[in-house]
Amino acid sequence: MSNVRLLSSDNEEFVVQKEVAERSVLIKNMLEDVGETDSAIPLPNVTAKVLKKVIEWCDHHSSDPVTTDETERRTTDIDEWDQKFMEVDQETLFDIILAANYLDIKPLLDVGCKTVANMIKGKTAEEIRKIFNIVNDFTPEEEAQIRKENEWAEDR
Amino acid sequence: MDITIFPPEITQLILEHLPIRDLIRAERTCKLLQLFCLSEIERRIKTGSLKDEFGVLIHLGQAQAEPQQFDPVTKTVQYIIPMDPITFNTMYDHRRNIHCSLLRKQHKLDNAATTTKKINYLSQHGFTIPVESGLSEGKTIQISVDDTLCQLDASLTRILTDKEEHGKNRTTTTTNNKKLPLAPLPLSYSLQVTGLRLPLSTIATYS
Repeated sequence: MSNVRLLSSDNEEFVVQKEVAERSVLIKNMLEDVGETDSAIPLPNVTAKVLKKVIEWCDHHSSDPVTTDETERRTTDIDEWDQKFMEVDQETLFDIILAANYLDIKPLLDVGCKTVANMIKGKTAEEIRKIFNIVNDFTPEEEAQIRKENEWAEDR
Repeated sequence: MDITIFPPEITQLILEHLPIRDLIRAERTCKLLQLFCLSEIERRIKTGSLKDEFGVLIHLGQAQAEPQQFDPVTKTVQYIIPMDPITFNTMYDHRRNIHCSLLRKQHKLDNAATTTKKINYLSQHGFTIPVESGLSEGKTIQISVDDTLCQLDASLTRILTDKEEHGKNRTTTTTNNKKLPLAPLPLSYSLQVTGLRLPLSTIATYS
């Protein structure tokens, strides 16, 4: 089985099996375009720390069938392994999501987005702001108005 | 790290996994997220999973409610009901109630083997449209039902009675059977539902 060399933005090289690397549509297309090559594929938007995590995910899911049904992929719950995989600090989680988007790994992107959605579920606006460092840019009057409109949704 | 670092398509993907109640809570976090949340609610109602979520049963006629507009300020959704007018008769000019139901899509099929694409609706909430007495023939009035879970607009018309036809029948009956009909002429009404409004709180239940 042939290997592929991937180069992170901080110039760290990773050697991975071709079928693992091809979980990324971006890499798969690149390999199809350049054919057999010994050169490392540069991934300027992904750091070594994140690329290592992404490769770990792709390796674990290398034999998963490719789901073409968007609805099925999006509505399926996160499996246990993925839940453990996503137990990382928030910065790494966001970087994995951005990397999955850049590398075009839709199932990983979905897992990341579901994880963030789970962090929002059942939280108040104040708690969401605190978790994600969001700056409240509403005026007190605007916020009071929205709070009044959404009173029914506030109790959990 | 701020959640707003994500490109719009990722933010949309995240919000797709949230129930409406959570989107409403997240609306108050910041202006950017408010825009995304309201846009996701509108998308879900108009073209997404909630597009064919509701229907109405008016008297004996059922129709699917088609979402038209989501008002982000009042948090209500305007639906149209593509339904032919319903006609009904009463023998006397008295107040009566037309029984209606707000229907909601049945999500879990009882029979997993069912392959039909027909949507099953379950009655979620019953309400009535009052028809007052004293409406003169040919006159149309607008009715608004302001219920706890939904608001409905309808136009009610008392249909002109074909007295000539009734008289002809009466004559024929008299000639042939030597009997006079004792029943008075029924009052006929036509009820056309023109619109339905659902507050987001109704839509958010179970979604």
